[in-house]
Amino acid sequence: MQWRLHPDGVLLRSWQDGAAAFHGGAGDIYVLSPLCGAILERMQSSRAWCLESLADRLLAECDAPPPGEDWCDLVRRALESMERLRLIERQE
Amino acid sequence: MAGPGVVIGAGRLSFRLRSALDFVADGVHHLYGHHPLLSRGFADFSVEVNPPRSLRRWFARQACFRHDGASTFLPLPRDQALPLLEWGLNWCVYAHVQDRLVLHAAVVERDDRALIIPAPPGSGKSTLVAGLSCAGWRLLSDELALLTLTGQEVEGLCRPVSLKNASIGILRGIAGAEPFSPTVTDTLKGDVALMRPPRASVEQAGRPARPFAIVFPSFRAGSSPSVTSLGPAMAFGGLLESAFNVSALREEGFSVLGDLVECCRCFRIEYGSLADGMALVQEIHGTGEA
Repeated sequence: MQWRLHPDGVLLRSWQDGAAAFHGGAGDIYVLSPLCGAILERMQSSRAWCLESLADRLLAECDAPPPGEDWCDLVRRALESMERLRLIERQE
Repeated sequence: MAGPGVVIGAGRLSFRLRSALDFVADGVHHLYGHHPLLSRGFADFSVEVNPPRSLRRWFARQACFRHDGASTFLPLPRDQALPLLEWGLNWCVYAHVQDRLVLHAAVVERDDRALIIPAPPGSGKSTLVAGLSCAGWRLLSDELALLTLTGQEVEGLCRPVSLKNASIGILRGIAGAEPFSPTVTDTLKGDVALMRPPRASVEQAGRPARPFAIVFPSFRAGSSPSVTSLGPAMAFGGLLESAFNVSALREEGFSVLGDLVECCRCFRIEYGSLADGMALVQEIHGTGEA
């Protein structure tokens, strides 16, 4: 299973302390965590990602992953929360 | 202000004001004494504050705000007619202007550096900008900031400043009693008085300003002054709560907010007195280029 941006389109502004995303279909705007911003950035430059490769890529680019957290689980929860916002979707 | 009323220019907008109530006419002439009276027939908004047209006028001394002849709000006690007019004019702007991003924010400017001060009611923003305007800052707005969709500029209407409760006495002590309307007591917001904006600010009301910093104020009586720097995402979230028409503007509104937090320095300030708040703003203004 892979994850990709919602086909309605997402505009993204990403900063060090977080990100803002505009959902092209609904017109809703969300303020997101830096991790969510990083995930959406990757998805804008590539069609779809599986959880493991996305987590590996983000970990490799991350200066200081949060201690005591299961990194892959953290990324999965970020993906699921953005799925609920309809910013991304699963692709079977 | 009876009959066709008067048309007042405030920045890029014009308002036709009508009222059969003498004290409202007197208040408008006093508070808008520095604004240009326009002779042209057209006005962006045509409003009136008058007694109700229904039977209600026979058993209650009330005033109604109407926009284009339609009643917009519930009537208020007649002695609140002047604040009602100002609240109604605010509604006209934030409910109808769609070629600018409208923020619930005050704006002041000095040396071509505009500070945008978004905050909910009660946070002290009107008091702060009234004090700054008395200290030589240009007042663009105490309530509504208009952001252009392309040019990264901010506009204001330079209308009277609405002050509440203890702020009224504090600002009277600084500016004197002359610029003020009579205080109206027991409104939904407490005691309210309106302060006429400085002549120099009114004369420059049509000139936009370049945003330099975004300052989220928090007044807490007795607290020590402090400044906290905010990242763009945090500031974006704060501005989003203050943006009236960002949903209607869709991608454009999103981009304007994003551009704004990227071109400005962003701060949260906490202070316990007007003097401390003004000193913090002055400190932010003096920090160099954005």
